[in-house]
Amino acid sequence: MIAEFARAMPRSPSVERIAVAATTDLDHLVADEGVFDLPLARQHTLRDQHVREALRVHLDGCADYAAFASRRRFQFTAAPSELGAIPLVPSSVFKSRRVLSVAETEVAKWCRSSGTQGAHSIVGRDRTSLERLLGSIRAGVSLIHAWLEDDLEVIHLGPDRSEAGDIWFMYVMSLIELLYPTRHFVRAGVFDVAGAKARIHELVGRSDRHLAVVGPPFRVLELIEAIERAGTRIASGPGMTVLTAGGWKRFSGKRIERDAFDARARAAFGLDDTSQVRDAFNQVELNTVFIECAAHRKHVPPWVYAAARDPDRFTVLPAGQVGVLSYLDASATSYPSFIVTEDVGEVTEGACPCGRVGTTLQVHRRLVSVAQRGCALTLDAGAPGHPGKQR
Amino acid sequence: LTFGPRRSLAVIGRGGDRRKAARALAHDVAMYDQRACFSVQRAFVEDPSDEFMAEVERAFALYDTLLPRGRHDFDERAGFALSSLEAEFHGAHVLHPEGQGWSIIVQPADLREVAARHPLGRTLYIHPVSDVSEVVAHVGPSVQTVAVYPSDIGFRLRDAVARRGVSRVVELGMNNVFRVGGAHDGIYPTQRLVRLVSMELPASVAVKGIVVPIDQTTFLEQNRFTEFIP
Repeated sequence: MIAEFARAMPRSPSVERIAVAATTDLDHLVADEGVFDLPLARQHTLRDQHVREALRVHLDGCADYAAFASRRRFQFTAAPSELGAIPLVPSSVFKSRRVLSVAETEVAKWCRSSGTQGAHSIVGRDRTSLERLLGSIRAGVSLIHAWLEDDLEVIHLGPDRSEAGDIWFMYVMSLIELLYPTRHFVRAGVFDVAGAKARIHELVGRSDRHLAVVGPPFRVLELIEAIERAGTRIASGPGMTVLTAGGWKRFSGKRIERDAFDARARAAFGLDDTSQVRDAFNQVELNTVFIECAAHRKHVPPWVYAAARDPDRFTVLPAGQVGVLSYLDASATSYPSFIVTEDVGEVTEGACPCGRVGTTLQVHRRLVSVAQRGCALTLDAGAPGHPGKQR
Repeated sequence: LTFGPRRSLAVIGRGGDRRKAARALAHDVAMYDQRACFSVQRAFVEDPSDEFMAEVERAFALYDTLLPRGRHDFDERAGFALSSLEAEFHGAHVLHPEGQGWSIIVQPADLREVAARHPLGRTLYIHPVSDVSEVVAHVGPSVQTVAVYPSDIGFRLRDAVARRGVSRVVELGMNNVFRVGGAHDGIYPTQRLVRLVSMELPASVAVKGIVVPIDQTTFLEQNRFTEFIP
């Protein structure tokens, strides 16, 4: 169709005219806020089509991935086949080498994991990948509500984009500023909890604006604790949403159970219901952000094939079984976001209690890696009779 | 006192009986399913020929029956599979036979990867080397035991690996045998755990270094103190 358009264009003898697809079907899909309301069969069709197209792109563009697929005796066929057979790249690979499907000059941003568990993953994203990532946030937010730009005011408990730099989880959260009016409350690495609290008091109760408190759970908890200590009452009712993302990172010692977290958030912010507390999931190797619906299930858009896998051979498990989570994310163009992760969870399909039909995801925990074991034996140097115990 | 975690390496030269080397290697990997500090996680091998690799496969299969792999939880199994898959992505030759409780990954030694985490569970990384001395660069204080075959390689490597922090150099296949008098991670731990109290022999007993009954006043009177009391 584009070629026909190019041929139909008036020609000048001195100018070669080339039609370039500025957007693709996938771009349109990512930009469609009704994407989670499509019938399941349609979602499957779109997912299969886009993942297969992405597979071809990465086999053509990424020599490392093509060689890996060849070693695994995988052959691309245009005909529909099991997506579960597509070779998966362990997410840890991105810690040791740069895997790209485009020239390095096309990388618009090198994205770095927070490295909570050691080495950093580094992922190169081109503009298309970044734009689709932003689109996935917009689509995911539609699971909460289809706000127009000025309907929502964001209190972001993190830094702005320039300060977030290339640290992935901070960068992804800061992208909310591109969608809605946002004020950031981390500057030079310092969380201005008093400022965030004051801003909530300033905005809460305004009938023309919904308020969203966005941040990692440890920062939201810090804000909750400050509100609890102050003893002031915030009655936001239905007018506020709390959106967490990024996990507990190095603050895992402060982690509280999700139910307890939601209950404290509800009490501190005066929410009507804990369904107003939502979590989002992403990792640096994945190009799509999954956001929870009111039933606290993370919905998977139809450009991602998510599956739980058995831990021995990574074969796809039936829906609802707990396994190692894997994703075939068609939205990444600059690298193969066909990954098997170090997360344990389950993928379900069908009707969600929120009323939508589709694929949902629950991330239970990280895999516990086997540390170097052995005689890691600490003997009590202060045992009775030991000189160190005497005074 | 804190011990470990530490890891251990094997070094296999060209000489000797390679079938014996393969069996000794399988033993030192299988013992305690690599959960001990002395368990071999990586082997640096001169000339890992197809014949040698076939011997190693046979030996690992043998040990799968002699000492079947223990139970491993979900996370450990996923760790084994992820490590194999990652190595495969990097172009390594991966042997992970269906139904067998072991994996062998053959890939060049990379300083970063060698120091990286290891999934254990009878996963052996084999790093081809042109000379066994290449192992020295991969040795640090985290390495407890260097197991060598043939054993005379130990004399060549001993000083260099000791300087880099290892605690033991043993013959391959003997990792789990701690000889009487050998130190544990470079020390005698029991001595650090007790307060030693001495009850000394009386003056009438002549002991090593002193050949007469001890009468220190007389020694001083005769100005012979330093002669008798060392």
